[in-house]
Amino acid sequence: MMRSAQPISLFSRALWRVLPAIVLVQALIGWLAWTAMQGLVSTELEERLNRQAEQYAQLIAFKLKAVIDTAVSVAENDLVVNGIMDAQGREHYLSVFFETAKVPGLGDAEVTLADYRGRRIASNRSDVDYEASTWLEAVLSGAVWHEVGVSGLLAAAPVMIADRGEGMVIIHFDPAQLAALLAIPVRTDAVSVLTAHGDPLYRSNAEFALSSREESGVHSTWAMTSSGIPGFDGLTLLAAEKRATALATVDRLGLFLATTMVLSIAAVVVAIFKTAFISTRPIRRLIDGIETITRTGSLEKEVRPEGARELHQLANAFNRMLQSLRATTASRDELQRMNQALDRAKAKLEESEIRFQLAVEGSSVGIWDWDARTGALFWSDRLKAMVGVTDETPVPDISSFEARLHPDDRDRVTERKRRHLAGEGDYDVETRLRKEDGSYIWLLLRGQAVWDTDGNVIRLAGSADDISERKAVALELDRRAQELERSNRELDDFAHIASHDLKEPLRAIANHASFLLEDYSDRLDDEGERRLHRLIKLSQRMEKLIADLLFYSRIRDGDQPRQSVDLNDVIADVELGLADFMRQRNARLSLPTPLPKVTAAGPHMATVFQNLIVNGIKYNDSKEKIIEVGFDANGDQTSDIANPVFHVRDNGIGIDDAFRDDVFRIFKRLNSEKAYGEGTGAGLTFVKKIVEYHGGGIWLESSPGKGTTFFFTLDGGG
Amino acid sequence: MGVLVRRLRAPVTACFAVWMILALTCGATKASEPILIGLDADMSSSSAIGGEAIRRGATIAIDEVNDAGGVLGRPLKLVVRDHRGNPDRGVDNVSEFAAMDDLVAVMGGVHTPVAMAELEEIHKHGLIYLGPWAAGTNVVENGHQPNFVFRVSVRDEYAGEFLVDAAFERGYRHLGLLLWQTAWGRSGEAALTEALSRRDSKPVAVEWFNTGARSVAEQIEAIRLAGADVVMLIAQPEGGVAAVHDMAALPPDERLPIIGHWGFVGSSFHDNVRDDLDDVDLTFLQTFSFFDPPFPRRAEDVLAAYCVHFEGCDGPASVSAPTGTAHAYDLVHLLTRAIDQAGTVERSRVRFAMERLRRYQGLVRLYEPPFTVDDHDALDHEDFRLAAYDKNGVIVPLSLP
Repeated sequence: MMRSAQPISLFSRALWRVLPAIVLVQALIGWLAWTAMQGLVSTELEERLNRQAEQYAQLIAFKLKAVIDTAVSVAENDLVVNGIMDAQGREHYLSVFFETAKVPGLGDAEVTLADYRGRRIASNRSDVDYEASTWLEAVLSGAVWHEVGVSGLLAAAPVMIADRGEGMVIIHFDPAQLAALLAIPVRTDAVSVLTAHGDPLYRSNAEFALSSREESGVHSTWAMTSSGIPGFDGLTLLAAEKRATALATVDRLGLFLATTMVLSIAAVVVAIFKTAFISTRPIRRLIDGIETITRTGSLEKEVRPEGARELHQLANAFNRMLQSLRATTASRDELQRMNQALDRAKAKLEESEIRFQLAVEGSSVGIWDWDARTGALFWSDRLKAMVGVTDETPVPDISSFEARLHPDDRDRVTERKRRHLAGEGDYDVETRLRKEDGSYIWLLLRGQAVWDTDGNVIRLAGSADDISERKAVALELDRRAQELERSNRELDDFAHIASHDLKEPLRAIANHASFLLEDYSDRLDDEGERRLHRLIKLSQRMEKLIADLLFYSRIRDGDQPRQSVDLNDVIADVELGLADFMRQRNARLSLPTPLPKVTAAGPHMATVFQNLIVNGIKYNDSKEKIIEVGFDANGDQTSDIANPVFHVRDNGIGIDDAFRDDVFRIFKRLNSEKAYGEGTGAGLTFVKKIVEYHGGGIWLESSPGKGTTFFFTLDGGG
Repeated sequence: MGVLVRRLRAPVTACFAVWMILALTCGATKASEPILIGLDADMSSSSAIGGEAIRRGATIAIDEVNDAGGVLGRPLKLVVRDHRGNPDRGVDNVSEFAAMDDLVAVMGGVHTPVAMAELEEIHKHGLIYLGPWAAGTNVVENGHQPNFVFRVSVRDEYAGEFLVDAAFERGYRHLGLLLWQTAWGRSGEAALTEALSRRDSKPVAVEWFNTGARSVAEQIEAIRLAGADVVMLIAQPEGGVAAVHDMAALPPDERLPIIGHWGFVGSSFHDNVRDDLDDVDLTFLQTFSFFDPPFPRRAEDVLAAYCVHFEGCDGPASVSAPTGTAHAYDLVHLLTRAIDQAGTVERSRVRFAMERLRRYQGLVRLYEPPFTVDDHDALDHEDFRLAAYDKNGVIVPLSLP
């Protein structure tokens, strides 16, 4: 079998066509740029060196000139001039002037005042003598003399008297001082100042001096330029820079260009690859699509338009072709499937309608349906019956329905409907509706609106339930609850008033009995005295009972503000208050875990725990009386109580099951005073009332002879 | 023996004849050589007029001596060196003069500082120093023994007395001193201060200026503010010009009169202050004047000789610095008499003779005698007078003291 030659890919084709040209052009541009840059840098370097050499030369000329000017200036100083004439007195001031006075800019240079033959008059050096100097005559004639050479810098200015040179001021820098004077801040790599004979007076860079001597003439390693120092014939300034340093930029540029070239070629390769890939992907997808149709006959798989505009157009054309094919080639099976589905839907609908009719008819609930577009209102027969509408009565419309609403309910019902139609909540409303006979029926109306795609209400349909009976019961319950509340309040008020008012006469009875004992004891026999004592004791007990009753009556919901209370603090306070009592009874408290914080009235909580703890200690025969106070954060698992359950457990005498409920009755004592001490028997009543006012409950578990555990809960818990 | 004498007679006679000829020739040569007098003065700088005046006076006197046959049979000759007012040059000049065998004396110039600087060198070489001008007291009172300095000129010590006297006579009591910062200025300060202290007074201000100073306005202001009613000026020509110029620049009611020593005379001073002198009351010390000479006939002769020798002379007004001329003239004659009296040019013997000269009538005064062992100053305050410039710049004596 012959194999046709494999055509090369778009990527390879583009690559081979484009790449050689790009490489060639890049190399050419790179070479041109590098050459041009080299030329530019060389020219710039030369210009810069020239410019800098000129600047440095001017600067050095300025410094040298400054020294000469200083010599002139010193020579013109009237004290110095005076010194020439004042041979006897000058020693006093010239020595000070020359030996100690610092002349700015001269540093340690020698400054000398010499006479007309160059002999020292005053100086900051002791061994100077210019008598043999060749330039003396020139200076005395009025000229300013200077020499700059390997022996240093010498500047001599005449001291003029009556326009004649009568002495001179000489400033001399030795070679080292001259080199220091010539040192200037330079930006070039090296600067040298040379005499006419090429001897260096100053060099900023020792390396440059070496190479310039060794390679006199052409300096391959240095780019350099020279400049005469203006005003100082024979002095030359050389400014130089290392070629390597100067051309480093060009080298870096070459490297940069080469790198750029390689990177750009790589970028071109990637770009070609990417372009080829992006261009061919939609085409490949199109090819896949066509192959799928060919292979499976399915017309479902459309091609996603992507890539260039033309490729979009191609994909869209392909998809339109598929859609057209799909439209014209819908199969018979599909039609059959559609018919069957239609039949099933129809049967389902019929079944549903029958079920609906049965439900409507069988239900005690009335059905209503309001067509918002026509305004027609449908009532089921059951609803009609509820309202007493007969078939003769015209079918009510929405306005006649609303007219039937009880005036007190109408606004509420219409508002609820408006909000529901606006999508703001359910349509679920209780209302009174006027029946045909004029009486009212309580109905619970529930409905659901249907909207079209534009949000317009199409219909509102629902049920109407007769709730007249339930309403009547609820009203009766409300009434009775209010009555009960009033009765309780009256009872509390009565207990409060009675106990309060009873205390006064009771105390009077006790007082009178005391008076009788004190004032008539001599006339009373023993029996009379005993009875009076009994009367006083009973009065006191009565007062205690009344006090407890008063306290009981004061326990009301809201009489103490509720706030966050840390029960650990409450127990600590109680324990502190009972310390003596507990010590006497050999009792101790046990808290297995810290107690939570609760929202409650703090004093009431103290009452609860104090009564339970005192009871646990009081009715206890154990040698060591242990009262455990604890709680279960998860509530009572055996019931549905979710709030924390607190408990106070003792190891006391226990309570017989027969008296389980009696313990909470006020003033009910199960044991004799003599056996277990005094008490009114009101404590647990207080506890129960407080717990209940806090929305909780109290119960107990007990085994006679082993101990009792009181459990209670509080609304809101910890 | 006779034979020997005979044989030797001819050569000995010949030798003697040669010796006699040589000796006579040598002696005649020495006799005709001039005796040198050195002149060391400012001949070209600011006090060149003073130097020239001295040279003229010396020249006239030398000519007179030479015309009369010289001294010790030898003519006198003046050798001139210019020190330009510069002490260092002066010292070098003195050294040069000292090396000249026939030089007997050196005549100095205007400048006290130069004279002071030269003292050491003069006494080292035993040169006679003739002072026709420099007035510093210490030029003469120099501490050297023997003292080789002889002066026919003002002595500052006496000048101080004279100037203070003049100021007091004119009613001034608050004297401010304006002084050149040199040995002469210090000499003048001492003289004026001592003169004042003798009158139980002292200067209200003492201000100094340097050689190169172009202005002394600050010093004048200081003197004025110190309450001075007169300025006593000791200045070289430049200092004198500055003082007069700065004084003239003040408002009329702030100007002070100036009574000066004579340091600025003998220069182009007047040319430089001609206009300012209309506004400034300037008087200064002088000695001799051809307008009012002590011995008019002598003065006439000298003036006549002056006009013969020097161009442009038509009377006393033509002598620009008459004191310098007159003092130099008298000094040359006094030296001649000393050489004659000593009978030798040996300097120490001439110096000895100078101290022992007899009475002599000079141009300036009658010297009775000019010098003694203890006194080498020939003039005193009786020779001094106050003078001023007239409109033509001629120095005119105001009055005889």
